[in-house]
Parts: sequence; structure tokens; C-alpha cells
Amino acid sequence: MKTHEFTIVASGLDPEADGYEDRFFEAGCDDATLSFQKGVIIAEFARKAVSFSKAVANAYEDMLKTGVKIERVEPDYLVSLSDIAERSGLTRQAISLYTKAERGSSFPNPVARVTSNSPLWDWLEVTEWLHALSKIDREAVVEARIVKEANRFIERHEGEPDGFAKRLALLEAA
Amino acid sequence: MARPRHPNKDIEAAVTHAEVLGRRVVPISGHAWGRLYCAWADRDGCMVSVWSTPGMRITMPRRSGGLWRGARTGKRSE
Repeated sequence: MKTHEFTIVASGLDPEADGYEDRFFEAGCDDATLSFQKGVIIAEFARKAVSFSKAVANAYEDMLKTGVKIERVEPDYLVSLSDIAERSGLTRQAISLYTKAERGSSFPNPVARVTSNSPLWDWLEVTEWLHALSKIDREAVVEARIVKEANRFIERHEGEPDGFAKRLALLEAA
Repeated sequence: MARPRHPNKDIEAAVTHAEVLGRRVVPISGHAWGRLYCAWADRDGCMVSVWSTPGMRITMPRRSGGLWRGARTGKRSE
């Protein structure tokens, strides 16, 4: 089984409360590095599972057992030019040429902060585009799709694990 | 000042490195061995929990790197 890396951001538990870490350990989150900043709990998972969707779904359910409110799954779908370079393993310069259409054609349009000097792109659109050029593997596209859907689900069905795993598994095959 | 050593040598190395970068180590009891507080932990800094016996992969050096990440600026970077 492969180890899948992703982060779950949560809130609602006070680290000063007794047995804060123990709750996570007992819920099966001992494969996450737990940190706390500005009232937000950050669990960086390295979870073994047959697929990325299973890993995320299992971790989501384990996190719910601790009583936290799950905010989102990361890596976030909004990415800067540097994020794209870092995640794809390509140079900043190469990505910059793509975005300016000086290399390749019809790179996805930015989706946020469009008028600023540091626009943001949708990582799923970017992976699909890079995959079409064989610059990134299919796995990256599937993972981007799963993370995006997971966050959409979390927004709509706060705290309900039902249907979460099934929904993500469908994307694995897509 | 002496602090207890972490029984896992990879984690102990990561904790030592975190101390060099200015993190404060506070031992606690339970399933977690201790906590690492950055210099800004009382405001918008970061606190990282260190497991006594973490899931297997966390003992890998790359993962334990998370223990000292952000120690220099007090902010987490992606």
C-alpha cells in the first residue's frame, strides 16, 4: 500500500485542554504531524491506503472522531505561479512562459486575484493542462480532483461522513 | 538545561535541530512525548506536537522535517 500525503485543517479543540493529543492518537491520527497555529489545527497526514481517495476519506472520518470541526483538505486548489512550479517540479520560468502563452497555448486563465501582480490558478485546471503535455502524471490530476471535491463536500455537508468516501472513490476511477 | 531524550533517534535528531532553530521543547505526558513551541507561539506562532510512537512514516527524516518547519520566521510555509 502506498503512503499518501495531504493535510487536514480543523478547528474547535483547545490544545491546552487535557489529553488534546491523546484524542488524535486514539482516533487513529498518529500518522499525522499535529500542529496548532492561530486557533487552527493542522494535521499533516502520511497515510497508508490502497488509494488517495481512501486515504483522505479514512483520515476525514478519524478526524471527526476527535470532535474537531473540519475546515478543509490541503494542498489547496488555489495556486500561485511559484506553487505551480513547486508542485509540478518545473521551473518558475517555464511556468511563467506558459502563463504568458510564450510557450504552449491556452494555459488555463487565473481564477482569483486576477487583477493583482500575483494571480492564482485552479490547480485542477493546471494539472489537466500539464498532463495533456505529459509534464505531470495522471496521479496528480486525480489527486487534485479529489482534494477539490473533498473541500466542496466539506463546505456543503459539514461534519457528515456519510457519502464522503463513496464520492471520492468515484473520482479515483474517472 | 537537560531535557528528556526522545526514544526514537530520528525524532530526537529532528527535535535537536528544532531547538537549534529556536524552538522551545516542553515534555508532556500521554501519547504525545512533547511539544515544540516557536518563539512566537504566544501570539500567531506555531506549536507542533511530537508523538511518542508515531505512525511509521513520520520517523522518516523527510517527515520529521515538519517538526522544525517555520521555526525561523514563526510562520508555516507550504
